[in-house]
Amino acid sequence: MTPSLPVAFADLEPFAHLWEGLAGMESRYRARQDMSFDALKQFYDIAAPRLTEIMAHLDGFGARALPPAEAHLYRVALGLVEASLAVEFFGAARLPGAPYPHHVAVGGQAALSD
Amino acid sequence: MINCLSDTADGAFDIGAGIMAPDAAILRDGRIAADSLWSAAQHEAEREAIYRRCWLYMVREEDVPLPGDYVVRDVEICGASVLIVRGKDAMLRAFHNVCRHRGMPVADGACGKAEALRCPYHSWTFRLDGSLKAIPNQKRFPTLDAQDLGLVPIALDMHAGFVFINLDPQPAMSLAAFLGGIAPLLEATTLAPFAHRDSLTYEVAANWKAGLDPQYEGYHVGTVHALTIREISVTPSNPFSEFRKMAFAGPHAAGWSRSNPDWRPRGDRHVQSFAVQTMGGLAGRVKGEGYPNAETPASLAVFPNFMLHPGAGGWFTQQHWPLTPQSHRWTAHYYYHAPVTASERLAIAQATAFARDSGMEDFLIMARQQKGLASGATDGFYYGEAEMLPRHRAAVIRSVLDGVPTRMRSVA
Repeated sequence: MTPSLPVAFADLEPFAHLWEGLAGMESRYRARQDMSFDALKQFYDIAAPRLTEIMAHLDGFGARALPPAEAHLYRVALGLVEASLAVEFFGAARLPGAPYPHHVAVGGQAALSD
Repeated sequence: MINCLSDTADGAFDIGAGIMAPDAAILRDGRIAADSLWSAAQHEAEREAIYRRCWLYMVREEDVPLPGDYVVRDVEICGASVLIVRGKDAMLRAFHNVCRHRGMPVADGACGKAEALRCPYHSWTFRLDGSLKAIPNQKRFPTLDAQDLGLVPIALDMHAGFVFINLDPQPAMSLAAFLGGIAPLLEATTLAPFAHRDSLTYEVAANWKAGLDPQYEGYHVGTVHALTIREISVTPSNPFSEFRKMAFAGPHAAGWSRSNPDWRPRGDRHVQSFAVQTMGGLAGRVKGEGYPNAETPASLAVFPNFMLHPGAGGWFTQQHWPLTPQSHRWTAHYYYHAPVTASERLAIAQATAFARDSGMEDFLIMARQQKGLASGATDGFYYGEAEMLPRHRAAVIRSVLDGVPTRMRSVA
């Protein structure tokens, strides 16, 4: 079951499912392409003004592993990064002129060991 | 010394085929033959005269840190798979990733770690120094001498931590001579402290030289990047985002931009504002660790296909590898200091996603340009004087192809 968000961020709960299970940039970029601009904008308008507060909360855990609710909140914040590209710059979910689906590989031929 | 650093684009150069001068007509008029971006003949000629002859950047030395670490990089235009591996003696070596038994690639994937390299076909096994260690059921190969059957070596050399290879079995010039006057600019690029890298790969439906262009000039920024980076680099005093200085060193080049110290993210862009501010903090936490400075070129172009730039959190490198006459593969590495906090990780995620999207603005445009050029409607295109870096590159390539007879390779 999807863990709840920390209580202080319960107002983001209706949007949390949008980014659940999307671990990497490739999958978040694809999810953004599959959402309507209105949905992205609605999420952004609620979440973006709270970003500083969200990140201050998460930074409180330092370098320790985040508890499940906080890890979930961090994934929502990473989703907000994708949403912000659409809202802050392009006024559209997809890049102008991009094919759909549009895939940019993380690593691939450029991959390096950690 | 050849390939000397100069303020002018007409200096002599050598990429291993003798001393040449960049094509004078191209330098003067900036007019380029349109088919140089789509013809199969040009592609073949570039394979032989450039990609089989020049030193080619592969990886950073610290990307292959320990004995047994390896990377595999394809150079498709030459049909080559290059295996770079650190031996037990800590030496870095390059080999063709091809088993001497039946030609199977011995290493899989783009990177990995191995005690020895075992062919997945019949288990011929090679030591990290390339020598053949074991042939299963060797008595059935009574006439073979294992000593002669090591992996085929490829010339490898390093400069300032940048690892290059050369597919010429006997490179005509050393890496140091090839780099010439661009070497000090490479030495000033300190990637090693930037331990966090985001790496991207993308296939672009355009010729590899078109892929290089957007980083060779700022002229396109006001148009192509109107929604993203235009506001960062286009100013009333520099409306066409021109370099303030350009320099050339043999086939290589560099351009310095005019900085825009007044730029700040727009207040209503909450996420970009947070990311830019946090990245500034990350920079402050690890002081003096080799950040780009005012003397760092915005674009450092190492011929034929490697470019380095200042990045949002440190540095950014990219390469454009030819695949077919009308397609290439883009690989990019974004270098950041290792993040500690969640905020720093998020800022890096925003910086890479922003770089991805603004890079895609270029690639989506050039895929359309490719169709226009390949339509044959026009037999030439133009680089202006502010586009002297691509003009110089085209003049170098023209002279190289004119000066070296093409040896067409049989595909049979």
